[in-house]
Amino acid sequence: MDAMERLAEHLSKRRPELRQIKKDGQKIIGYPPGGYLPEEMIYASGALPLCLARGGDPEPVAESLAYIPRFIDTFCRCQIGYRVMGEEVLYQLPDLIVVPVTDINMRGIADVWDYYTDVKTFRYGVPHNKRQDALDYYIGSLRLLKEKLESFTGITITEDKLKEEIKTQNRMRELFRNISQLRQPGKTPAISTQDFLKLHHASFYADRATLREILETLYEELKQKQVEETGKPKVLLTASTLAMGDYKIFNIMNEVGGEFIFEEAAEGMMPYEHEVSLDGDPILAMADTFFMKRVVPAWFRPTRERVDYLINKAKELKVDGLMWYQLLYRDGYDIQSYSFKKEFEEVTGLPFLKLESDYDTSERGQFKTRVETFVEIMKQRGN
Amino acid sequence: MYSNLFKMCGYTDEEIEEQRPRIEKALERMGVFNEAAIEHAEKTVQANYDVEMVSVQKLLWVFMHSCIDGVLARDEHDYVINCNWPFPVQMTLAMIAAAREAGGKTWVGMPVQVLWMVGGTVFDILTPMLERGELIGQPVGKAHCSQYQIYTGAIDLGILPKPDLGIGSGWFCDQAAETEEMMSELYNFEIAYLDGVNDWAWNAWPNLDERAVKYSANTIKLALKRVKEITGIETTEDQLKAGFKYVAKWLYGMQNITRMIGAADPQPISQANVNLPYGLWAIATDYPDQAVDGLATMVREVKRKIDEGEGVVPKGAPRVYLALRTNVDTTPIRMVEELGLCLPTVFVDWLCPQELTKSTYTDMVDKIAEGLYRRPQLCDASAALMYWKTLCKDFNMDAAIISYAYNCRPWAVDPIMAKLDLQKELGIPAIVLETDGYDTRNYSAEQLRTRLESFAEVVKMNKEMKAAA
Amino acid sequence: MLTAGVDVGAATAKTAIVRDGEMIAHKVIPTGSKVQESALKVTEDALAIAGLTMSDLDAIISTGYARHVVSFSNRGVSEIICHAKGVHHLIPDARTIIDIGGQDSKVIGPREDGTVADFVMNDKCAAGTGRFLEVMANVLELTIDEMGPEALLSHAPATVTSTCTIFAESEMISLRAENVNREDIVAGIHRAVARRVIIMGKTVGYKDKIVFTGGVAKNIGIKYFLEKELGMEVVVGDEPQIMGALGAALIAQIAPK
Repeated sequence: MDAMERLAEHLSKRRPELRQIKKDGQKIIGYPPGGYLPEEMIYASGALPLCLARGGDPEPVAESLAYIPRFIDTFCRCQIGYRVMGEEVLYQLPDLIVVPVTDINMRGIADVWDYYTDVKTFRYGVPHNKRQDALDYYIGSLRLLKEKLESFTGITITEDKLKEEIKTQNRMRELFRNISQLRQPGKTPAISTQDFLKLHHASFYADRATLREILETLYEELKQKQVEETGKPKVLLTASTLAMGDYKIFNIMNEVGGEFIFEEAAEGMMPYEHEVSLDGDPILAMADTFFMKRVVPAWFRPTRERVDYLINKAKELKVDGLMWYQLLYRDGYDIQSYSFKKEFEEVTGLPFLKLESDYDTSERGQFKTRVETFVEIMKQRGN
Repeated sequence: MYSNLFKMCGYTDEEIEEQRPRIEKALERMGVFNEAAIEHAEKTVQANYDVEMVSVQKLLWVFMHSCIDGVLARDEHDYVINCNWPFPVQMTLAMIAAAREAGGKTWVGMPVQVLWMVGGTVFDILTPMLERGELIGQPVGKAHCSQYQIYTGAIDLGILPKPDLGIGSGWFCDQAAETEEMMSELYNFEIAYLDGVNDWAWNAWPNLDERAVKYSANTIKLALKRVKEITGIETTEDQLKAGFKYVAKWLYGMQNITRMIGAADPQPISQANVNLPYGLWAIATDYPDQAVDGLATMVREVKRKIDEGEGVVPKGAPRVYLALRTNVDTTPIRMVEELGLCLPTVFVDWLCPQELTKSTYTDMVDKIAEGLYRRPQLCDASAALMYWKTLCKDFNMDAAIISYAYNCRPWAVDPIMAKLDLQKELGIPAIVLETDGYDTRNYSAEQLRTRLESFAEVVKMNKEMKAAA
Repeated sequence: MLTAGVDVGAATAKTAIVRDGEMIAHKVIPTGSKVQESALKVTEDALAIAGLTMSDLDAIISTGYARHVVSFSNRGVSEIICHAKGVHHLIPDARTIIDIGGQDSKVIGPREDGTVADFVMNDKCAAGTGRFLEVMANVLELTIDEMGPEALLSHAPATVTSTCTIFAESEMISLRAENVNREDIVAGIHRAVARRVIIMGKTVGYKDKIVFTGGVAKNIGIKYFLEKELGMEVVVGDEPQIMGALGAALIAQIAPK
């Protein structure tokens, strides 16, 4: 059995396992994806972090209309659907929800948990710039989170314990980084973007030790793997949210003969590009990694950093085009896509495709036509 | 050609004569310097407001003057600084005063907010601006903030000048700041953001989070510093204090009007007219004294109408709370009143007791930031729910119309919660309606009518049954 | 006392004639483009059934979206109020009314006396209405009457989620291109309409007994999926289309002016 198969097997048993863990008394702390919550904090408090990142299914979107009006980002809007429909076990497990509030859509997630369920939230705001006062705010937020976790679990988060968890998480991040770095500029990657993303999604609820072991094996397997160049156009993917279960665009890209070779998403991935320093105050070190070094999402202002990052990535990875994937009513992405497209095309000369999803099944045909054309354009340019 | 219109808006003949070149230049730029447009404006303003009320004329005067100032700002000043809603009024007033004292080289204002009132309820010319905004990063059908579509459109069409500095609001919603960020890239001007974090704990309001207040206050300080660096203008503590004084007067006057209308039976004036003082509560202009005079006049006029028993809805009509002012078009307000429902208070005109507690901050800028978060609708859903419930109880409402804005993300979270809470906890029926603050194309008045009519009948029948029991 | 209720909807015009609290005749015709004429015609036709003429009527109340253009009525009353009244008359223990008409769908919570405690109504979108089913029938080359029975043939309803009529149309086309059975597509459409209306009405709540009215209530496919998705029994009366007209005529008996 190879590593990916082992992972699938582990995940298939994980939901009942988590149920048992909860039954046995360990606290489970849920949080929405977004990368502003250092999981090491939760581990250090003796609780189990559980990232609630399901999306892509139309039914919870429809269901959510009974709870929240439709003008909220699709991913954020449908979260209540997963909870009330009851079929997704992960959404039934949390004892507490921690929400780093990055924008109104995320705040909406916190509001619906508080209003419609008996699971309460702890929120902390993420400022929208990287000035010193903003960093200080984020640091203060992490300190409050620490206090909250301590009072919630009754376990003191000592500096030693926290550093130990940081070390473990650093190793996880390193493994993700190592695997990511096997992807070469302009080449067919050893691991598909969809598989790489699925590793991230696995990290949201898998047993950490098991996942770590699987990632170690997988890395070795991938290193040995002889990758055949497909010659398909290479695409850089950037997204507001790449939710667990939202794989429509990957399937379509596969069908029409293009391939993603790298991805950046505000939500849906575990931050892995930088480790947390073990020197000095661990809170400051985490703030540096999770806030300062983090690629800014579209709702930051100024937002230049993100624009430059994507343009540089496109050049560095020698991609043939960029796909911008966003969810309906995520205004920050919609607005930024306008000036970004202009600049991206001007600077790189590469084609740009924007897709916007409401997790609706009727989108598929339209998406396919557009991605097909996009791939065709890239092919023509290649010749 | 336009004398009649301007007289409806409180201008005297002498003033029209004196201002003629400015008026004509501004009208031309707004595309309304022709008979047809002026005729349409006369009809529009009369449909929206009761222009025979002196207070309405006086308040319209403030808006018209401010609008012309904003359109001509670049022609008449070296530096232009735009402050954009949602924005602290005290701070803008202080900057306006500082700019004036420094000799008028710099113009500070809130031209977009003025434009939406004048362009919407007087000239009815917002659609081309909205359509232009839709072409610039805020496409149709995606629920983008129509206020900012108007802003982008107005700049792109040359109706408003590009500023040298925009002071943007990122403390309440995301779209405001995101649009300004885009505009700064497109039109090459600088933005200083007031930032906020929106992380109030559920049910924590009115206990304000000091961290959040201080953080937002600091961003205000940084913005003021940037204004100084660019224009040399320094806003003093005294000017900030004067800004506070204005707001205090405004709060007092608005509460007076709100309480008087709320207690009167029948409802003495259409709530459509209250759009004007509400607008000037949120918008700082160069004419604070005239604005306060207009407000005081409205207080007197309302009082007189109550004394004389005048009413716009039948006596004893069911009392209904309407949760949103549609700023650019008063049709929904009028429609509810025409259906025979009394609107004792609308939107967030009322200040609930929790908002009126004394500030514990000493620093003026901290106080400004605190003031923002005193308003429950600007924090989280739990605060808004508490406001709605307190209001409906206090005003003895028979029902509530939870209208919310298509374009406004922060206010799209809680309408269904509000309906459930009001029904469950207060036992009053509530209906959720989708409207829009600035774009009348986003709701169909006729579709609203069917639902409002049905709702009105339900509410009336309830009231009759209650009375019978 | 002899009264008429005229319900002018988007698709059909309905009239009910009530004498001393009991319905004696009713008639349904397509509304067509001339609303006023249809309203008059359907009323005269209904009266003719009972051997009566307009001059025999003591009062007329109009309802439905075009109630204000019915010039011969004494007054207009909203269809929500009328529906509740009409249903209450025939099924007094109804506590929830699901009404799906040509362009509107509503969920109404009536009190024990037939007055309305709460209601919701669809916004301007046509998904979840009779119009939606009609458009889909066209795409699938079925008549509207064939849709319901066809839906019941399915063992595996296709996933249809579109919240928009226009997009649903392209969704149908792609499902057909993927060779999904027609009955499964039709079932999927019916489930989607049922779900959409159910979700819309959740803030009103679903209490036994649930009565399904409006033109679409004749569609057994929608009834089936309403019951399945709600897990509750849904009752359809004999003439689900005329509840509004009946209610209007009944209100005219009590409060003609």
